[in-house]
Amino acid sequence: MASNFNLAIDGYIQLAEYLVEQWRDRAGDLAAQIESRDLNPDAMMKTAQDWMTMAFQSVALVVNEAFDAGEAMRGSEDHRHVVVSPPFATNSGGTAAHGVRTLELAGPLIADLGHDAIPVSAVTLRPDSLPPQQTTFELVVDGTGHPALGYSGHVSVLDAKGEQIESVDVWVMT
Amino acid sequence: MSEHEDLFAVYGAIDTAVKNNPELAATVGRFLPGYASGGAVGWFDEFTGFMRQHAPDAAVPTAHEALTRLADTPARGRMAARRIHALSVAARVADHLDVPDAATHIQNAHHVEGVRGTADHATPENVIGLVTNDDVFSHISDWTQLVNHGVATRLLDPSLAVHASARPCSGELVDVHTAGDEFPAAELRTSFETDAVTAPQAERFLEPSNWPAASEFWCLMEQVGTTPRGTRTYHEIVSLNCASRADNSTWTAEAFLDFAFVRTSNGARVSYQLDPDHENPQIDVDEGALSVQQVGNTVRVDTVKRIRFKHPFNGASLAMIMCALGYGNIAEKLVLDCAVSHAGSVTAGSRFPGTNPPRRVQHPRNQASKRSSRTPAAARTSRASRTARAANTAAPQQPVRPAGDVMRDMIDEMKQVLDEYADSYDTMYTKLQSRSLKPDDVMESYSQMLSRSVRRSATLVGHGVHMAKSVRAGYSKPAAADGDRHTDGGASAETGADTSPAEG
Repeated sequence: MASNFNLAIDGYIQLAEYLVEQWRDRAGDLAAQIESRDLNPDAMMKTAQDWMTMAFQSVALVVNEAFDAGEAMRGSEDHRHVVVSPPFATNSGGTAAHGVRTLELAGPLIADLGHDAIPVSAVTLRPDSLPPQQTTFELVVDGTGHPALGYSGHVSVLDAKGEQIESVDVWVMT
Repeated sequence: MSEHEDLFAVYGAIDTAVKNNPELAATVGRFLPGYASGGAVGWFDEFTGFMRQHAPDAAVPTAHEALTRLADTPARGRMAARRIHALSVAARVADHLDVPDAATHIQNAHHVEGVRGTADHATPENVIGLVTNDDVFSHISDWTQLVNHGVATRLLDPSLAVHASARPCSGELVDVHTAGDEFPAAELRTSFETDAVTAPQAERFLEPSNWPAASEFWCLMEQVGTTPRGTRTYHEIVSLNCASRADNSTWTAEAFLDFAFVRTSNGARVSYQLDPDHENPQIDVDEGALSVQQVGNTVRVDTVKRIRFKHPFNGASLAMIMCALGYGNIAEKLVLDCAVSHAGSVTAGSRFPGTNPPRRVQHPRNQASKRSSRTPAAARTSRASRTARAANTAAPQQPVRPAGDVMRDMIDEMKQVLDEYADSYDTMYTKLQSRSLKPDDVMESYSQMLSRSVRRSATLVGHGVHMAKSVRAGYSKPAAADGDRHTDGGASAETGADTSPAEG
């Protein structure tokens, strides 16, 4: 996943190097002309045009690079990678005693390798509430941009008063 | 030569036949991935070309050589299942294979110990007739039916019964696009259930040092270090022929992988990913997970493997390459071969080194600075990989601004640049027209332009860097900050007991 964003960053680095080189060359030429006393009105006008052109080219290149970065971001939106977890079961609520229970993901899902996490906003609980007698649910996870690994987390089971009555360990392989 | 290499050659010969006779794609596509869409056709030539880029002397045996050798090579367990699979397809296109008397060669390669059954009528003709009978096996989805029927009629070896649950090369293919990448990674997902073992029996073979014993495809899988997160780094070498890999005469790949072992409420799970400290010449994505869960009386095995070679194979071709190499079927071997054959032994394999799942994100910056326990071999890193790691792990010293904000600033800045240059140009042009332009005016204009250019360029480059950081922070690791919000340790938190391996 990182490689595409490295591409965007590499693009900016290459552009910065190019611009620095171009401006340095022009400054060097101007300094050489001043030192050698070759600077005359014709040379000045020619250099001024060149500098003006370079200035506009610099702006155009920066704009272009920004569009490239935008394209990279848009690409992420075009290809969603959605996975569904295995079913999980609550221990509580097999009877009507608890009434309808609400399910909440208690924090992000953390990668087994410990270096990545899927935010709560990328996870949908299906269903997000359990009527009496129903005990199973699953996670629908937007894993776009995340590596193919196991991820773990916890789902809080809340009663009608919003109090946690159980925590269920959950996981998914993205 | 090895059985893996010979089966690879058979799959390759099938591909060549389809390439030369496109009408065969429909038949082959019923059993092999990527052919129904036509996307996989030609994978063999493309892969062998890729192979020779890295090992110019590498070669794949001809189908004739491979079939001749297979006829003298007994099959066992999962490899017997793979042989049935490959040869059942080869037999269907035998007339188009570049092998003299191909049908007979295929029949002989198929009628070996470990495949043929015990019945008197389990003749070469009858056994190959079974696996090419469309009434029994017309599609890869009929695999279970084929094996069960073959074992029941004693045309197939009874030891194959356990392999009925897992279809060869049946991974569900998903092209995984990542923005800006030239070509997608291929992701293969497999799932099967078996009641031949329990999850505790199966998990004893998940630790990777068990893998070379499970499959001759794995030449080496050796732990070479640990990370501060508690994950382990393994040195992996896979090859079509481990015996001849040293002279570069066959396809071989080497990788360093970070592994995590997680204990779940009803089983065990392994996750792995390429170690970013080691540059890999052939593969730039190799990651996945393998889960073994006890569900009632059965063990459910789920795997995911995502891979991308440093070559623009399309997804269908990648799926077929994975199938032919046997790269993605380690779970079947571990569970259906190793665990089943050692089900009666409590000491076979090794204790699963699982821990509780990590409860917080550990930043890569910390692992890079605190990486430890490496052997000299594992510590070898190229300058390029170190540079890449430094770029990947450099944490921002200040909060990263949203990309949209940076974009707006860049637009404002560029508008100012345009306005200022337009004003300068207008002044110069007016003076030129009125012939009032003096050398002092030009020099003043130069100095202004120079200072403006330097200042604006620096500002715009600065915005570019901000944009790059925003893009990276917002999309590469979108959840890292979120993860930290739910932790008490933050970025500086060292590995806790919940992420440390149970045994070292």
